[in-house]
Amino acid sequence: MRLAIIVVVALAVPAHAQPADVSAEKSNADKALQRNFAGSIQFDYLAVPTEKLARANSLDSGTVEVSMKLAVDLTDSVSANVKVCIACHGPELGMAYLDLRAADAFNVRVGRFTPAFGSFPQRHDPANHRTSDKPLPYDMGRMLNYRDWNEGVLPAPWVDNGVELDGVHFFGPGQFDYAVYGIGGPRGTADGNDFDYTLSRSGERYYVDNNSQPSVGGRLALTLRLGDDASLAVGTSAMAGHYDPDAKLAFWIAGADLVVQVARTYLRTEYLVRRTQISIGDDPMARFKYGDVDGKFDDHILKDGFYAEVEAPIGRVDLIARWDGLRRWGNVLATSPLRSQSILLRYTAGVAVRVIAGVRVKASVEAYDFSDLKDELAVHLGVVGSF
Amino acid sequence: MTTSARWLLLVLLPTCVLFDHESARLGAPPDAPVAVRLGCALAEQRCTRCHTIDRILAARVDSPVHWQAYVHRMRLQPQSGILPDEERPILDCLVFRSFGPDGLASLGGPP
Repeated sequence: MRLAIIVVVALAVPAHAQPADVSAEKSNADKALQRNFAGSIQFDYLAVPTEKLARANSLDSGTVEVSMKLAVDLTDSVSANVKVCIACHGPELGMAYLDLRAADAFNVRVGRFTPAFGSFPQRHDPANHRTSDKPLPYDMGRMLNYRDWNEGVLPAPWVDNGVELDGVHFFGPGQFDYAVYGIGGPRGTADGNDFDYTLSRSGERYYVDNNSQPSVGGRLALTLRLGDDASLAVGTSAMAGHYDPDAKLAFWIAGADLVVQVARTYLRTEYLVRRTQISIGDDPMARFKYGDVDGKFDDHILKDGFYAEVEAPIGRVDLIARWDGLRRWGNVLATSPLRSQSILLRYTAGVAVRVIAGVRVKASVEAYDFSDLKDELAVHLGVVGSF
Repeated sequence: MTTSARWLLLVLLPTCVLFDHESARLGAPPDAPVAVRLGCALAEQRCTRCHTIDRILAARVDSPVHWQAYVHRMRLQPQSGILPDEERPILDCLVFRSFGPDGLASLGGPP
């Protein structure tokens, strides 16, 4: 991983060179590799005023998220992207892929990437979205009680090895996007009762498919222009496969998203649902909180989530209002504080203030309404810079 | 009032004096042609769908054709919302901002 960081930085250095004479450089630039180096740093302080010591149920206090990305256009039809991310779990490769584009409507992406699922993952970088944390369906460890809930429906950015075929077709007032892919997929243990996200970033388990069966998925999206300064985008996504080493425990995830833009004001909303098969084991009465129904244990859980978010810029200040939630249906481990139907609703008000070029201060207040746990208040205060 | 709430107020109150509309925009230089100004307004509309204006301002681009490849790659991003005939106006804005009229002329064609 250290080597990856060194390579990214070393390759990026030439991209910083500035030309003295534009016209004289043109012919050389035509032939040269086009490199773009970009990155971001976010420091965020999460305080939980309703808890004396919040560490037991959250990753509170200060966290840092760093990303460094290098994009290289090798030719008109081939580009490479490498992105290193450093956050709570240490350095990870968020991107390491080649795009082989035969036409606008046909691109082959190979390597390690975030497969096309939903709308938010495209903006997952802290410098690209205005709140300090992610919407609950895509939460990756920043929500309160994240262990009890096992994070969101599909934590973002979901990064995996695989192949994706994607493309875009423009027509009249809009564009149509598609993507289909095969990836290693989520992982869990043989006696799993849900995904185990730590196994997806474990060097000891290797960064390879854990069950020799790829998970598959796809996405369709439509973007339409509604006048000069308004647009509408809708999308639907799906993914399915097995997550345990024996390829016996199946899952599927589906999602739908809607983005409405009027001038620079955005309404974004998404819904995700995941059905996950769980291992009942030899002694389910001892393992689970709830017993059988008519002599049979249900071996599935259903988890869904949504968010609706309005983002309105006023000069330097972006105002954000967000309502999001998670719901979990199905049996739980005997030790879990959750019940067979648990609900979490969260209400967020926030601002992102551009203090100087490239630097924003983010502040938000979040009210958590748990059905089975104590309601909480969370306050985020952070600084994010892009370069 | 909790300590956290006080800190939040300390941050929010100064923002009242920061509602400077132009500072957060992708402004065209004063000598820019009308077509370039329109291109900058269009870039603001389209690019903020996925990222902030700061991403554009911070981009290190070393030639007009570098911007050309950059904008083309961005247009092909899923749900970019940048139609084919909008690529050139956005490109003109970014090239003019970075390299002035000479840079724009080096691209050839309109505006």
